[in-house]
Amino acid sequence: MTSLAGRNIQMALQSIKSAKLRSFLTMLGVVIGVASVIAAVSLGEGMRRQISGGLKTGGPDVINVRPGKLVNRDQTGNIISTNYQAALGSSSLTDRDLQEIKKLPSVTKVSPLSIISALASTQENRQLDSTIMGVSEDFPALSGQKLAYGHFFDNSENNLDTAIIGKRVAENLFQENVPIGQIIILREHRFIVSGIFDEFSANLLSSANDLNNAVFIPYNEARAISGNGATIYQILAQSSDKNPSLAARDITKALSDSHGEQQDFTVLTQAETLQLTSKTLAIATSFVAGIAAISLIVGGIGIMNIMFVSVTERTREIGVRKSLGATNRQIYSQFLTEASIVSLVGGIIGIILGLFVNYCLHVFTSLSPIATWPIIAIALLTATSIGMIFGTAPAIKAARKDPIQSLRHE
Amino acid sequence: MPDVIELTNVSKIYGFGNATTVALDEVTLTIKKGEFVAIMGQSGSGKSSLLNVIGLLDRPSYGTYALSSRVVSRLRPNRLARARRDHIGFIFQSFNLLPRLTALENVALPLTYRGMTLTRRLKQASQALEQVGLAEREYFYPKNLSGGEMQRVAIARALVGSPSLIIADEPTGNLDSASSKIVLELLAELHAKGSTILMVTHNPELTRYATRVLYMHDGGIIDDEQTKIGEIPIKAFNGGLSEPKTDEEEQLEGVSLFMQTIPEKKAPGRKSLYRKLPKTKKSHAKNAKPASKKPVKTSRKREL
Repeated sequence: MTSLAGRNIQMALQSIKSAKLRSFLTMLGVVIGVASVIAAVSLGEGMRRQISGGLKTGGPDVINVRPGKLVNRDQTGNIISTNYQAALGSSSLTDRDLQEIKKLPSVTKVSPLSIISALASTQENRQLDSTIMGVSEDFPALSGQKLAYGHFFDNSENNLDTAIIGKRVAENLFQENVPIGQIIILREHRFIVSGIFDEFSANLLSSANDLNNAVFIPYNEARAISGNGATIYQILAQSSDKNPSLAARDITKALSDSHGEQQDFTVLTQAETLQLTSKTLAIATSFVAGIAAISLIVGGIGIMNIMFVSVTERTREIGVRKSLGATNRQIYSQFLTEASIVSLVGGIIGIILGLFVNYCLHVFTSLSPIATWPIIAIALLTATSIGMIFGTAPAIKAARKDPIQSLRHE
Repeated sequence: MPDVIELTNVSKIYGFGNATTVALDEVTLTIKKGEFVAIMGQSGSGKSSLLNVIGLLDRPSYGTYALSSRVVSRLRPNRLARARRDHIGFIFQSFNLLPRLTALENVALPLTYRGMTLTRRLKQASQALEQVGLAEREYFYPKNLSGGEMQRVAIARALVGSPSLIIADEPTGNLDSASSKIVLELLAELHAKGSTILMVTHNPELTRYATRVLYMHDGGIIDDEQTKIGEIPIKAFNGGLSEPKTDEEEQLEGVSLFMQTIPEKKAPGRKSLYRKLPKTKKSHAKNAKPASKKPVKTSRKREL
């Protein structure tokens, strides 16, 4: 019966061609559904790769200390549940914690990520609403972030009034690409710009802030100009050993001691951070993709509706076909093929549209969605299945039509 | 000649309870291979029901139907469709060509359902179109063909699968006289080549092509006569009701046979379900024997 299948496909394509506008409107639901699923899933995939890529540059031996009890662990130390709300509110990490961690022999490099509230301005009194961060000289190594121009500060006294700026600050505050040597004023203190960071990749967990719009100054200086008001919201530490679990245990013990045995902080190794990020992202992606999938179902209902209309319109054709010897099954497969083809064509257009949306996001935003072959294959398969599922009822209706009544139908 | 069609006491009843309509009333009919049978009768006389049953579009409520010596009256819908595909070719009054297919594709359609390959079916369809003189119209869509041409395409479609029986339901009903003539000549040609044709018509002129004319009234065959090709039986002009009507008949005019009968008892079998009213007229007899035994004196020749 392959010749009949081929004939059905040909008929379906003819049917689409003969009513282009109607066919397009029929498949629009599927087009939009597939396009949004593709965009959502590839956005999630892009972020996952960015984050894991970003973390890899920092190295697997970097340990992340955060305020609040973000995770619950079982007895062997594996994460069993997460509590992101613990990260809200004022930070439980203090300067003392930082000093405790620095003292540990299993830790080689340490940098706090602290924020002070200040407005950055130039000598010409141009102002920019940017984030002012206090970090240590180890920050580039710990974050795996390279400088585009200039150099980072070291711990010598000469570098106390040095600032490193993000790319966006250079563009928006100084309105030039390499403002090295320029003066930036923070809380009436003058800092000299000595370096500009490469563009930070979007990294959800590293900070809610855009690091490209941040000014980095030495931590001690940040404390000094803010009157010890620098809030530490994260501490990065590098383990001396390749396996960071020993250092993580030491840090946990040291902080527990200084916090009076209270576990109001979280120590995460790079692998755990990655795991958490992926998990969060997977939840977010499936949520967005789920919403997009609803439009696929709506598209399917649209196909079903139009197919019902089509069956009624073509009642006479069904009668003629039956009088020529078509069996119920053959009529059924003809209409099912038509619904599937409409849906499949919708799926293909949807994929093209989805890839176009991805391209636009890539060009016009800092997001970099990645559409992989499995995503495309699944989208195509889903689109065809939608057609088959929602085309079944109209196809059954067509197959069951009485040939005599159908031949009389006007 | 072997029998193509053998109907034995075939009845078709629609509806139930008080709304029952007897469309076919115990029809017994045999059609032999190579016959060209014309069926005449007024609207509602059961012509279409008979065609539907013979064309396997419908199953009889009672009775037996054997098509090419195979009993088909109790087949399931899918087997019925296959038997239809292999044995029957339809020609409709309104042509019923699929508008989105070319003439060639329309003709090839019955072969598609036989699972034939594309090349073979297009070749056969092309030959069939040539047979009806439309070889140069192969790639025309129905909207670009005249009525007569459309009916010729429909004839090609009916004959492409070499069916045992070609059923034509008012094939010239929508055509002008010139086109009608061409269509009938084509059917006559097919008949001459050995096809069995069953044609319903209101037009007495068309019976000149037939070898046998059946007259139907109220679900039964009231007359059945063998004719010569080229002659039009006189009965064809009044639907077989050649004798004057009695008063009683005038009063019962338009009342179906079913309404004229009184139920006798609840049915153990169809035959004893109704007691017939005393028949007042010979011509109302069901299952009339072929009239050829009583030669028709009043046939005359006519030109179309």
